Amino acid sequence: MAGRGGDPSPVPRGGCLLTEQPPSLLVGGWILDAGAVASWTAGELAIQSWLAVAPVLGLTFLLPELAVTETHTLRPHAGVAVDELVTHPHVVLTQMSPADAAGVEDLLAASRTFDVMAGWVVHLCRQRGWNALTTDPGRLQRIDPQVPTELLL
Amino acid sequence: MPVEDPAALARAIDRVARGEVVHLVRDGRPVADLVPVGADSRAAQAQHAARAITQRMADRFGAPTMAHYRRVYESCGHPWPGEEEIRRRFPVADAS
Repeated sequence: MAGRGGDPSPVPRGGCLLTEQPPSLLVGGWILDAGAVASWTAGELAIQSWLAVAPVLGLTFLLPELAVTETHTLRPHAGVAVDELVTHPHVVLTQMSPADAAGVEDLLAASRTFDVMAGWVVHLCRQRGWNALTTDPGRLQRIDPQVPTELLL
Repeated sequence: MPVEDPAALARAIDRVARGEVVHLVRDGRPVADLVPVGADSRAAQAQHAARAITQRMADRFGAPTMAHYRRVYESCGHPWPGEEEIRRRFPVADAS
């Protein structure tokens, strides 16, 4: 895992809070990208295991709407699986606010790229201090080589 | 009600007393939940919904292996609860 070092927050690794409290009291999580969504629709076991343990470890997964749109566009037949992910109680689907859009514009300009989904994921990672859960870290690292990622495998 | 494993029942009651929802499983399938007194029913419903999605995905695509679960626990810096506990809580592919 390529998490940022020196973070004084109580969430030591990837947003999982070490506590004996009931999961409903926990705050911490991960950002899903389009690769993670595609992995879910393909039935990959790594992403399944993350979602399975979410209620026990109190994990939250933030899902940018554009990551869903990418997968829907490429795999329209996978709608049922996408719906399962979007409606999962530990997944929060998020829309891009005007402030988010401005932040993503800045990231894309600074990196001389135009990958809106990846820029949004990087923006959310920075904003929340969470790691991205992805099958393709390189896509995110073109925007920010230091973005903290966890490879799904 | 006859109980096959009183020790397991005692552990389950301890977990419910700590605020957890405990899933009762028969033949590898969830059949009921033990819910703490006064628990937020929405939280219990959310846990149930999450577990149902997990089971449907496992039925459709197969279940993760023990190694998958171990990696998630390690990535989160969470102590490994042991294989028995993992099998009790989650669908797990048979070792082969």
